[in-house]
Amino acid sequence: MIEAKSITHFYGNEAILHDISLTIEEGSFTVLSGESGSGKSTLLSILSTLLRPSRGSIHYDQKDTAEIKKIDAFRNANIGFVFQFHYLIAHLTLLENIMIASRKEKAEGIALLERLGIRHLAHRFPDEISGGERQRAAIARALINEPRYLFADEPTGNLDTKNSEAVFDLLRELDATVIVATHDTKRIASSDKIIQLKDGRLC
Amino acid sequence: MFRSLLHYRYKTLLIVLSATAAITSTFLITALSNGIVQMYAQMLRTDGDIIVMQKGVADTFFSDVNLSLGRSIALFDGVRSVEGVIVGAGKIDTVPIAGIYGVTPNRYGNYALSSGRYPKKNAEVMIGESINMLLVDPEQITLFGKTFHVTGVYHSDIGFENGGVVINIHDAQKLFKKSASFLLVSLKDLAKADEIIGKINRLDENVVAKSTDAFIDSYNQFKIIRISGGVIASISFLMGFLAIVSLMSMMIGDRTYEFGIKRALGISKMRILMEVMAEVIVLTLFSFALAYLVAEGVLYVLEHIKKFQGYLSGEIDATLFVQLLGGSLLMAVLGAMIPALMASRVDPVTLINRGRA
Repeated sequence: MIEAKSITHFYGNEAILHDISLTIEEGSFTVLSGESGSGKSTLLSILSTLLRPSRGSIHYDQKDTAEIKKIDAFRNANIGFVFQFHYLIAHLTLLENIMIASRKEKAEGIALLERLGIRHLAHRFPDEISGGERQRAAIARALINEPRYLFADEPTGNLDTKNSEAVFDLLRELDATVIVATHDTKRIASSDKIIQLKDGRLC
Repeated sequence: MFRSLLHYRYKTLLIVLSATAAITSTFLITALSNGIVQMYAQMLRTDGDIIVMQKGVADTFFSDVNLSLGRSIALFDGVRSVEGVIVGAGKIDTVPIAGIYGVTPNRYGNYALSSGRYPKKNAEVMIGESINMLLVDPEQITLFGKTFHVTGVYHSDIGFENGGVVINIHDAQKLFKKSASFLLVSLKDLAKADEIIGKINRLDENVVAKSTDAFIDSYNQFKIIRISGGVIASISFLMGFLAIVSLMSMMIGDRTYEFGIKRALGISKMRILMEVMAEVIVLTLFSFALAYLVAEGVLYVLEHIKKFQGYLSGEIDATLFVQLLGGSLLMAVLGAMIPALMASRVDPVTLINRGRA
């Protein structure tokens, strides 16, 4: 279970999030929804430990993440993150990108690529493949360590309808707690929980 | 690891070139200044356990010691031989400047003849192999307007001597208007060195006797050459490495995006730091090896350019090698570590956004 307690966050003097408290249940599929600039991505980054909040705290199974000494290792073991822009490293092949922080064997990386339908691109570089293929590779990288929690920030933001549906179908099938930030209203309906944000506040 | 270096290939190339240039120039400046000191020191050490110079004179070139003092010193118990030397320099025919060594005949044996014979009378000289190759008419030479007959050509491993002229000390006395620059005293028993030095110092209050090693350690000219060489080499090294540090910072700045992604995926700050350090060490070692080869090549060429008469002779010894390797690694690691450490303290998302900006 993830708990956010009184999260407030500033960029400079501007408050992006205002006193947000919420709970995300284990195994749920949660959607963070809101217009562009509502603070979805910032909240997702804070929930996933990629960003320290200016105020408030994040708890994983009642443990305050500020007290976790090796937060990088904690993230590596428990959290997967799919960014809006794939964020693959340009000078590494897809397989190398997937295995970059993996504790698994290479064969498992190849099996994951197979599952995502991009096995044949394993040795290609990110700029040699399409946007949809890159996003699938980014999902593979997030899944390789079999995380308990998967965060996805606008994972279909740069994809066409067909690819968007495929990505959401894949996320729903996962045996993990999934938290997706999106402004795509078509994807909201099938979620367990919807968290609506407006101007950095919960609606 | 090498992928990232190849990906940023232009910056990598610039770093390697800057490091190679900085290390090469430091190698050359230090090796050449050490070479000058070593050549002169070796010349003095040859058959000289004690050196006797004029008191209160900083340089052997300006020293004037009475040659007849050598006869009294030669009578001391434990003394094997005393040689008088006048050190000077001048134009020799078409050669603008060369070392001129006026020596007592008992020192001729230190010069290994490659052809001809040793001088037997006044106005006869022998010349080094290097200068022999430069002279138009090696049969006779003109020194300060006087003509000398060349009786032989010698070889010396000391560049200053191999590119110079050896004349009878009596001829040198007339040319340089002094009795002797210094006396070199060779001992039968080195244990008696301090006793004999005391005796010489008491014999004539106008001279000062020192063991050759003590003289070399305290000789002002050597200190000046070493210090000025060291200062120039350090400045050159520092300037080169400042360029590397700024290039390194730029390269790490370019990679904040990559570091942010790695941190987001759970790769530890320490592992990222170690990757950067490993890349820097590989680049520095490669540049160092390249610089060493270039410096050795340049030193070889300089030593064999006829025009330089063998005077430019340098050696990269183990101490210089180790000091420079340590200095290069330290500078490069510090140059990369500071921006990498700063980057590692920032949240992954901030790094990614900064890198994308």
